Amino acid sequence: MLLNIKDLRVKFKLDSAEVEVVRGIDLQIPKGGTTALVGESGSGKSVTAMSILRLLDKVAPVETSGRIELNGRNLLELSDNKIREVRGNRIAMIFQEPMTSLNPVYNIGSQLLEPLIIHRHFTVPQARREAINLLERCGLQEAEKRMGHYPHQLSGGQRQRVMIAMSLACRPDLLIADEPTTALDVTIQAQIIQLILDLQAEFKMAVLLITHDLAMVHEIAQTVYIMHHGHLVESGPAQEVFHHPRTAYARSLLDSAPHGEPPEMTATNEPLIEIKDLRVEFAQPGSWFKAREWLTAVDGVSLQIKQGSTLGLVGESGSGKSTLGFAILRLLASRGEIDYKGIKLNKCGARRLRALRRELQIVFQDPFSSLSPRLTVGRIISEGLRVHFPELRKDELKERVEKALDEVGLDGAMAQRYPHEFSGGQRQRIAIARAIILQPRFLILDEPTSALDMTIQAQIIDLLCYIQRRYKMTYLFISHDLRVVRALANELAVMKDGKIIESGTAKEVFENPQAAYTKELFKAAFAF
Amino acid sequence: MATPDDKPGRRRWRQFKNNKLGYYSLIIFSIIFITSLFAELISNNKPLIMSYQGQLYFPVFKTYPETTFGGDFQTEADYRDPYILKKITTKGNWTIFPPNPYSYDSIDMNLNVPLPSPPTRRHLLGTDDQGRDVLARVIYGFRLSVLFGFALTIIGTAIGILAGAVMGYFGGLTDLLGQRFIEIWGSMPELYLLIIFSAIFKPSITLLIILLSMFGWMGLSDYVRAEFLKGRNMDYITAARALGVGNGAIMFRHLLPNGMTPVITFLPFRMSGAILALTSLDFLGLGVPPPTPSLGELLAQGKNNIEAWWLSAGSVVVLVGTLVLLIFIGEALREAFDPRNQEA
Repeated sequence: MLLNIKDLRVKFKLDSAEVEVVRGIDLQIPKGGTTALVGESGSGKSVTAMSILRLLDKVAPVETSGRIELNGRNLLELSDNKIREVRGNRIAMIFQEPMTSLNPVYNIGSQLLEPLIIHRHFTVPQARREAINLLERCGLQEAEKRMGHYPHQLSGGQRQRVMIAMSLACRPDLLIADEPTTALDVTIQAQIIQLILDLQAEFKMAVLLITHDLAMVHEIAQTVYIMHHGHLVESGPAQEVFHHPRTAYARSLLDSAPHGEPPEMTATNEPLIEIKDLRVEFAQPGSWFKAREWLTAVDGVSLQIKQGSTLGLVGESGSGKSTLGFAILRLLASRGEIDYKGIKLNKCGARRLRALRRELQIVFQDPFSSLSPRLTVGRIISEGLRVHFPELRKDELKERVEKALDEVGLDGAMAQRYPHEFSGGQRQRIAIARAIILQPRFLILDEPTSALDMTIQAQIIDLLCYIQRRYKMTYLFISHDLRVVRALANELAVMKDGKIIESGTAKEVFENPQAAYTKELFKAAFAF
Repeated sequence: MATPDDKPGRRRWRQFKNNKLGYYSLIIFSIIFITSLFAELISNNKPLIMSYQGQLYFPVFKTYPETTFGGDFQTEADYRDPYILKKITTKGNWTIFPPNPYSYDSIDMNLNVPLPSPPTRRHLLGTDDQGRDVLARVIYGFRLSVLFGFALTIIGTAIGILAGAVMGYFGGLTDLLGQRFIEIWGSMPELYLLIIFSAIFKPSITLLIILLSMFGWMGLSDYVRAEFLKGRNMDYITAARALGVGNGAIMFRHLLPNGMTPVITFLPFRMSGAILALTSLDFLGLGVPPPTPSLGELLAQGKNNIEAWWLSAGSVVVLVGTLVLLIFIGEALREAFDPRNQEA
């Protein structure tokens, strides 16, 4: 065994109370193997990873007990100097968000040279050669030129490659990958995972993969540990855990992957919204004397959204799909034609538009930033009523808010509370309640599930289906998660670089994609 | 799950109370300030209550001509005049004076020492160079300074929030023009303007408040502008726009509560700044007109009569005390609003 964790407990000491986040887990990582630690957010999986390298020491008021043995040596008892020799040298770690884990003021080269010079005692020219080798090995093109670049000049995938190169610099025995692909696009995700697997074979290192993505684990891990509320609920060889889960929690986690068919279209073929040649351009910051440069985010899009249907709009980040959604609601200025039931939205005056907003609503991706932290939930939900039905009395407002909360599966008494008291899934339900209280005809769902855990995702999708059936709403479902879209959408449009590449009924497109990009996207998304 | 009373506001208040220094400073400051609001009952040359020929009089609250008490003039009675004093305290008449029987502008005519006179039993902090009681002037001066500070802070904060909100929320050209205006406005020499205006207009507290507010809002508007610039791109603002909420409501109902942190944190510091501004203007003779009680004017007298230590001592102690209390309160507020200092 390379790493042996015995009865690890991690407690956070807060002003008022102690919170035990990791409650006695035992975990073994064999040499050269791939071990996966799976759990939902808040299950304690990242804290476990951080405590292996004792990264929480002195950062947070934390108390750790148990044993973490690396080749028989207890890491928890090492002095600060000794643990520093382990960090990055014997055990390396890569993080979820590659933008914040690289230092923005140093170029890639100097950040890569540092571990080589400190841990492997290379001279500068030696280190430089090795660094270029590593970058090339990690699939970064023009490695020599990239050495002089700064993190902001690289894309997310490229930054993650640099992070991996950095972590490999000292040929560690163990690589801890904490959600290494969550912040990346699907096509990039597949590449990065493949890269980690290739390097693992080449460097003969063990990998501890921390993730919430079960599908990915299934393909690549030999051993799987499932964590829930700080406990290990299930562990064993991957095949066994996947095919014969022993505990109810593991089963519910496995079942929560989006599946099923979208509801039959109740709709007529009449379009509710018709877009013709829509363009959105952003002015790039430039100097006073130079002509402004424009970035085209949405480039001549034409679309039809049929009444009562769900149009899935998919694409990678930066493809302009959210921008398109915002432009339809006129939250962003655009050129072109947006026709809603015969009304030209782009020609509406402010007053007319404000009245129409009752029928056109939106739910955002991040339920943490979409609810104002200083207003009560009741206040947040009733805001639309106050604007559009100013004649409503206080008790009528209260009644409608309670009904809306009830509709989304929350308790009416929660209206008195503030958003920070709720979990992500509950917050997303509140955001949905805010949108549906006005009973809109058309609802834009901008990645409504991507900030949520798997099991919660499934619940929110069920809720959205229920609401659509009940109120006969038309959805525009924007997502990068093709599995979710497959479970929801009747129609599908694929977007890339501001253009619609392919569109048609969901069934057609999923079964028989035409464009090369669509094929590539599907291949990456359904790879695992 | 948190309890329903766990509003952000309550949590901040708990955190504020945790800072003992700031919390007790707030209590002490409030007590002193509220007491000073009743300065007329503490330090006044008019009796609180008196009985003259079997009838009760309340001179603090009502003006009586001297003739009421057997004097010769139709003007208001001077109760410290030995002639009147004798009439109202003998022959079964009685009078209760406030603890310090002088007002800020009452001149003690019966001193037979050169002015300014040092502290005695009669004048606990001595008198100034016109024979006015220093203690009385310090009490009234404190009240005026704090009230002035409140007024200036409230007006400056209101203008600052409004200007910052408009610039930050609308951004673009509005922001550009607003910022250039602030740069030009901010480079005007405030002191010269004060000198010029005090030559044109009759100096008064109103004029001072107007002039100082015209310049006092800029620092705060920058912070509010930054908060609004940051906040206007948040999803919950977009959500409010999607609901059809008007600009004004978005600014003041959705954005402002989330951008209040710098505003509240700066309040005590702005107040101490305002008090200091008034004191320095008074010291330079550009402030409130005589005989308004003012700490700065007392300091100026202290400078002119350097051997009369009691003149400066009183105002220095009050001024330093007030500013220190306000700064402690401000520190505690800042700590309570520090996002890094949040209970989980």
